[in-house]
Amino acid sequence: MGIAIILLLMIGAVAAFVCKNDKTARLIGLGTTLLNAILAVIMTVTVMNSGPQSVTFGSGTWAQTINIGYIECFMACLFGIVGFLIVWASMSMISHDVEEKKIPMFYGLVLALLGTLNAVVFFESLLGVFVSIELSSFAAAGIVIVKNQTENVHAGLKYLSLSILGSSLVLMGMVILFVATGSLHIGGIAKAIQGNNLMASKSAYILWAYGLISAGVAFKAALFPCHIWLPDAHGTAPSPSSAILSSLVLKAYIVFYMKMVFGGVGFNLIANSPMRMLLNVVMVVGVVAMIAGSVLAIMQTDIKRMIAYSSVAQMGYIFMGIGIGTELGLFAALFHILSHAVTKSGLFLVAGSIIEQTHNRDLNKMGGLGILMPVTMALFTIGGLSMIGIPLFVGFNSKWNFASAIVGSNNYWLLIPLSISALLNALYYLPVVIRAFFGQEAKECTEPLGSKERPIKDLLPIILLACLVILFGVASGPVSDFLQKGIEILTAIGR
Amino acid sequence: MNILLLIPIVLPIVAGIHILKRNYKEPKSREKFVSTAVIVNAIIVILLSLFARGTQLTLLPIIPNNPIQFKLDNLGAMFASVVSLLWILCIYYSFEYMKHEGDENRFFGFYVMTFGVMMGITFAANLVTLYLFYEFLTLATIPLVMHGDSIQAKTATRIYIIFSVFGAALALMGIAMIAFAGNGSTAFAAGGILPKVLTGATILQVAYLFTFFGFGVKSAVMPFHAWLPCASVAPTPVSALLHAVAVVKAGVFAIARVTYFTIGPDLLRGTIAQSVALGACIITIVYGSAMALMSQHLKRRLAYSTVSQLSYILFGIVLMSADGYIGGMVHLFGHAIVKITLFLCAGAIIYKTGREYVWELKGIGRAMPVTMIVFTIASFALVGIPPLPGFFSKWYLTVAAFHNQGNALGYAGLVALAVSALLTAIYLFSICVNAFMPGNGFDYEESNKGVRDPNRYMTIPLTILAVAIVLFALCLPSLINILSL
Amino acid sequence: MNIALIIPILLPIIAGVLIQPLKLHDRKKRERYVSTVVIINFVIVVLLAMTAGSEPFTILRLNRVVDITLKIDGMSKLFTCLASLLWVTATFYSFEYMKHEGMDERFYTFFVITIGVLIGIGYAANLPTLYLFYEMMTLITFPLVMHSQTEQSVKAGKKYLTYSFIGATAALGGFFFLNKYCTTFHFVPGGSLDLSKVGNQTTLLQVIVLMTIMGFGCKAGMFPLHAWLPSGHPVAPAPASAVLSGVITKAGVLAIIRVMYYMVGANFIRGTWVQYVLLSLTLYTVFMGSMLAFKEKLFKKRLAYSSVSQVSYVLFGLMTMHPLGFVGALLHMCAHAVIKNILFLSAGAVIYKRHKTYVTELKGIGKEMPITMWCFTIASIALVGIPPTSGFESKWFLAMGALNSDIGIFRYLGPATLLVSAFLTAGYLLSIMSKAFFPGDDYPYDTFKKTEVNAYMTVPMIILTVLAVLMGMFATPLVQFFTQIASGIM
Repeated sequence: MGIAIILLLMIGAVAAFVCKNDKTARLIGLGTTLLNAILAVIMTVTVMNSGPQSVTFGSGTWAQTINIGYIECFMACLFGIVGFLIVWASMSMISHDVEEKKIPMFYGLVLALLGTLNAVVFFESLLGVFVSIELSSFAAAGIVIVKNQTENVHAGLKYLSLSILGSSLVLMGMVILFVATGSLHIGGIAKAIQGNNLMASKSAYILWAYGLISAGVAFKAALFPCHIWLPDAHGTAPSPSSAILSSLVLKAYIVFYMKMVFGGVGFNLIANSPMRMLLNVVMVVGVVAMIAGSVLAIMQTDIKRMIAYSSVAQMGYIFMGIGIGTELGLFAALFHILSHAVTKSGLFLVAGSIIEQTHNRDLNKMGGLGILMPVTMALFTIGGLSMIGIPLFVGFNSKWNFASAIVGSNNYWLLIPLSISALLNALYYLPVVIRAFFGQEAKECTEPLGSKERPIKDLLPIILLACLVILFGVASGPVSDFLQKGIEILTAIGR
Repeated sequence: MNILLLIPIVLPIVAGIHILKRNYKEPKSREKFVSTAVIVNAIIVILLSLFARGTQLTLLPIIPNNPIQFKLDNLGAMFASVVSLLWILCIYYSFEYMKHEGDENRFFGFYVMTFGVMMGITFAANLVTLYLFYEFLTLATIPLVMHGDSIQAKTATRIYIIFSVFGAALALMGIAMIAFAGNGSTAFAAGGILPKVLTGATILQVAYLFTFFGFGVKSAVMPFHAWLPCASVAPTPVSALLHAVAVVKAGVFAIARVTYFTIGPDLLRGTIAQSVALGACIITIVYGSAMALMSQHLKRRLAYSTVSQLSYILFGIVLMSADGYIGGMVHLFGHAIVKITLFLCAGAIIYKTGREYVWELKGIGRAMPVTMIVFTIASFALVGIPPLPGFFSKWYLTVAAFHNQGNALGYAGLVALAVSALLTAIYLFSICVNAFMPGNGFDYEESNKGVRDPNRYMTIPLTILAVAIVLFALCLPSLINILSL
Repeated sequence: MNIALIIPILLPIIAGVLIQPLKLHDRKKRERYVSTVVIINFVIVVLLAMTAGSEPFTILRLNRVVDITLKIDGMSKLFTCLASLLWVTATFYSFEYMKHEGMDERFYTFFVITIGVLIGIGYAANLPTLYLFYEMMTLITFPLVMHSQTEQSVKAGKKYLTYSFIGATAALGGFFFLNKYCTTFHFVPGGSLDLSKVGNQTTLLQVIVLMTIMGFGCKAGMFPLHAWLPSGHPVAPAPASAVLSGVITKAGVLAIIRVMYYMVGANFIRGTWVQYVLLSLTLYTVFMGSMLAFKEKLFKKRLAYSSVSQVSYVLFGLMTMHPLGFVGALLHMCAHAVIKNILFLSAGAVIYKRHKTYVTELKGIGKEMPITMWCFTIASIALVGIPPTSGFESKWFLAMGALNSDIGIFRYLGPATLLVSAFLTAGYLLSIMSKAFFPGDDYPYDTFKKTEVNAYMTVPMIILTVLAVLMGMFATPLVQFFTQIASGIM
């Protein structure tokens, strides 16, 4: 099933690349992502009914294993559904950003990206993961560069280069783990570390390995201060690309990291070994990222850069959750992946709509936009409120989960940055809303209500994303149970 | 049978002298002669490598215990075969390229001669023989560097001569000390020939540093790297084959011989000499990449890249462990095919457009698709994207660096490798991306009018090399198998 | 039966949201629609208060632990009835007043939604529900604050939002802790703190409780998070300022009661440094509010400062942790809600008719707008606390509570501050009255014109004024009711 998904997306990518016509390319993009979403859901149902699936090619050290458990299904559904909605939204938006000739290339890259992201999550053998990570970096940089403006090219290069640095570090970590444990499979590593008590006998190896992997993932997933590529890349990319990049791409690497840390080392060892020290660093850096990302976001005047910096802050939340290193912390981080994915993709698409309709990216000139584009701005408001963490939106559940994790692990001081960060979120999302609906400009705006609105059928995918924000806000129980099950399976590898 | 070992050394030298003397007027006939000589020689080398490994030939006993002696071991055979194959490709490429440089007879004469000298280095059975051909190599390549006869070329040559001679002198002192410390012999045997009692001896450490930096001149270790970027004024086939593969790798090869075959890694592991050498490598890795990033002249950028990459190999070698040796050798061969490809692409661009600077290459991907796609593949390989060669180098070097528990510089090396990977990505990908994505509103017609891919003399070698890069992974297991100590 | 609790919450919210789509451009139609909604809602709230049982009703489960649950108890009845009653009066008043503000449709949208949200706060059976409606209240009311969309009001609105979020954040931080230390986060009279879980972390928990209360204190205008109130209330349209000052501040009070008496429990705080800190904060706020009101020349801003001071009377009563003080607090909560409504409505009437915003401009206004100014005067007297008005009753209980409880120096300091503040209140309110009715010799007694506002505005004011007086004269049922609540939780 997992292979089917990857293959489907790759075939779609090739088909999109070779077709000359931009209309066909759009259809291929839409069709493939829809199929992918359906397949992901079917796969999830299958896994829920008959347990995790696993396929292995080859044998010995270099055998490649694809392992589909609950978390993999969760991510596959996320990639599938959110990816489909973004691609749907891109149908009407992409020609604003990308020249017609490059549209087949855009969809090809998007599909290839989704395929490799799925592969990053599905592979249990590190070599497969690494190859997928590398390929996804190129596809990701590709959908930034495809806009073909000077600043895009620079941003894409910066992204690509730092990605390479990140993957070099990850590779080194993997190699060291290989040297220490003799295995290139997460399961094998887990058995070696947890079963053979390697943490005591080879703690230097394990620490170096995980330290390097953490540093590498920090670059890949834009953990402050390794985020420097993100605002440029996400800020200048075509808006659908930004949506994919921030809501999906970053997450694949994080899930890989979670699998490495929690699948490989396990909660028990984390609590009582030098790994705790490492995760403390991750936690503190995550906290710094939460605050710094928001502060930087406040300082922005470009709407997309602001949203991009907000992603930096949100990544900080996730890393903080991982750094807490308990089951609740991991759960909070996983849930936040969902939360941030649905919210941030909507926000980027809204930003794209605004830029497309008004040709303005400057936040200070967005007064009265609520009159011109009421639906769009309402969607922005929903996203903003979710980011702030108002109940009934998914962001609140995230915040709650993080808080439970914090209180549960006795790291009380973390509540202070958590609270401050929520406040800072309010400080940059709400002024936009206020200026759009209530400012002097809104009052003096003479144009009729909704005069610059995009047609509702074009906004539909964004509206659906907003519905997801609310759906997971009011009823997160099933997803939570699902994730809980996933965490159990993940940490059972070593036992 | 043993005397056959002499053929690949003597044949090109004779052929080279013949070209210089004959002074061909007809390009066709010269090309025919040159290609016959090189191909025949390459075939002989490969046949010898396949079937005559282990044979030994002793000529003049010029120094006690250290006669001029040849022996074909696994490392030498491997290196010789790869160099021979690359030589064939470069010769074909040069037929076309040298049309715009002129004075082809001199060029091909020395180019072919160098082939023989290189074979001498690879076949050498002791340090003295190796040193002999090492000196010959300097002499044979001087006319090639100076080929353009411009003031820059002359300056570059002067710098090259000064550095090389100085380095050779340093190395010679080192060799003498090694001979003095041991029983007088400098012959090669896997694992070294010196007695274990010398482990960590001061004289050995000094000798090692002398040879390391002496031979290191050719492999451009800081602070003796300066000649290499200057020498990029030479015709591109020279830069490609000599300054990316043959000459510089000869330095690396010599250091590998000293470290693993004469002194022996066990005697030096954990000494100050090792730390100094490692430090020099690490600094060079980062420095080379940084300078490459700052250079806007395409060939200089590639030359600095070579400076950095050579120190990857040396880093592996100087780690003084079986893993390090494998890491270094994997990178030696990987880098050889990758860097030669990059240089040949750069040469193709210079040949067709005369453009030498990075900023002039905007949008050239559409005008010269084959060249730039090959360039991009080679870039991927150098940066280390799996499954291309650079990936495996990184893999094995990391294993080695981490296994080097005794020396904290191993960790520093990891950091250096990561930083260098970042810089490499930047300085190579910026070229690729600008070539294919010059930005909206870029006028392809105007800026690249009349520019197109070179003819098949150039594109075929490029394509073969690209395929070789992609298929490198397939040969890797047997490569490692053969090279294991 | 208890599913009915959802009606008074959803009805106004849905009705409010529908105002725009229904295109009620016609003023008459719109007024009929809005008044029907608020009156029906008031009736339902009263009916529910009389008949509903006390079983909780869960609407949603946000995640595995957090649910949104409604429940009705004594405090809910008090708060919801008070809020919806005041809403009815303010609504009728606004029909006339909003004529000169414009953008009525948007105003009514948010105005009507707000009452639904407030009822939600009243019915909330646990902290997450309370927090949900509390945040919604912030978001729904800020459009009211910046209704005029001038630079000044937008600024005030942003200040309001910022302070509210700071407060709510601090309170939410507290929730997370209480979630761990309480046996349940549902409201239980007397609190559900599990002392065995607290163990040796008493100090930590005390800090958390203080933080939570100060966070909710933001809405109630308690120092140090009070600064939004004097800038936020005056810029809103008068009916909105009336309910903001009269009702919304009480939502903060309600939340504090819920945390102090229904989650943590008074026993945990009584006699600790937390109580003293809170007492000093409230007393300081009482004094500071009065002083600032005394010095303020802008009419509505003076009233806003007055609110800062008066709401902290209520809080002071709560902080005494004595049943009498608690009763006093609730009495003052009702009294101040009604009185401050009157004061803002009459100030609005003056602004509406005469466009006079400074207290110095109000000379002789009592002659020109007698009904308005009489209501204003009676309300002022009540607020100062002259018998037999409601203000007297509440202050009596507040003082008794303070004197009877064991709170060290605050036993005397408290009543003394209340007394000083009462003098200041008299100073800043009665001075307006005296100028209004006794303008002095240079007033053109012969030529002034009567410019009274019409019945839409006067009738609500009169009703409320009567209520303010009656509540003082016939306070016994209220006192009994409040004593009953107090005995349940202490």
